[in-house]
Amino acid sequence: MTPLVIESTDLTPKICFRPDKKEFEISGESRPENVRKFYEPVMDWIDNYKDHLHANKAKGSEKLVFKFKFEYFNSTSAKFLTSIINKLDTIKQEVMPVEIEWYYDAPDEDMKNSGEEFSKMVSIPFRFFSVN
Amino acid sequence: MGPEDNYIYDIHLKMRDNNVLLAYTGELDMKIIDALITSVKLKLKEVKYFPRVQKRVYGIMVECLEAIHSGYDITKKQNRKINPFSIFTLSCDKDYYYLISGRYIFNDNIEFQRAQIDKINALNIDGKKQLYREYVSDVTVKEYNTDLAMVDIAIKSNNTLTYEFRKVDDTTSFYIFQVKIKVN
Repeated sequence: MTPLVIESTDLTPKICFRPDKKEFEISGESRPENVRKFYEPVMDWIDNYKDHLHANKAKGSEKLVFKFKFEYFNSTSAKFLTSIINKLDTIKQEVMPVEIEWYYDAPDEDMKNSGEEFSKMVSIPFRFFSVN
Repeated sequence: MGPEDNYIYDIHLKMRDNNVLLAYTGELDMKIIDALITSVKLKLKEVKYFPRVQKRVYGIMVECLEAIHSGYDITKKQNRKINPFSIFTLSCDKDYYYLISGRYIFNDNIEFQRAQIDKINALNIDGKKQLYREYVSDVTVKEYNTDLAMVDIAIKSNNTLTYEFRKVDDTTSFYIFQVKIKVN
């Protein structure tokens, strides 16, 4: 499976999905001018990865850990993050265990709250990490 | 320079007395929004206290500016022309940060805008979070959603959203929207 790596800009986060290294991370700020254009390839990649896992009969004993390390995301990005997390939830239900690690700057309670809101919408376990 | 130029000094005094960190007036496009956001980001970094509030102010400011832009964008898509003049200020005192925006609005859109804000203001924090979850997972709305932006602002500010519509003429009004964010 080809990795997906998109470098960050002032408006968009870094995407680093490297299945060979078991690295799945989104980090930075997200307020793209065209949110759909930015996130659609990310969502397509996750769909393809789910098919790849199915085809390769991924073992249920393994676990995928997706790391979310946002400094900020706007409300429009939140809609697409919801879609991404829902897709991960489908992988968890159909293929193999998935866990989300949600990182936030120590004083940024709003970012932690946002993660908690996402966690209420899916069955994926979230682990929260405060970063100083 | 004559007495007619005193208004500049008056504006300066008003901005100084109200601790205005940023003031913008004119048309708002995405480039200008980015410039304003970058400017505020730098200004807030200079303030060494209350980093939690700074991030909150930043996030709410982004949503407010995008809401103004979206308002005009929707008008354009409806092939209706309205005065594109907008105003945005960020100020503070010892208790609150104040984000105030203003833009023109068609009178026939006022009730929608009023109902949207009143619905959010009527909810407690749990109700607002429930509404946020509904809006954010609504797959029928694909792109920018003012309902979602407004409830996001309400949750983060944890304050009543205030607004006013000042009638300009039979077709348009000036829509003023204010958010208060507690400093500590």
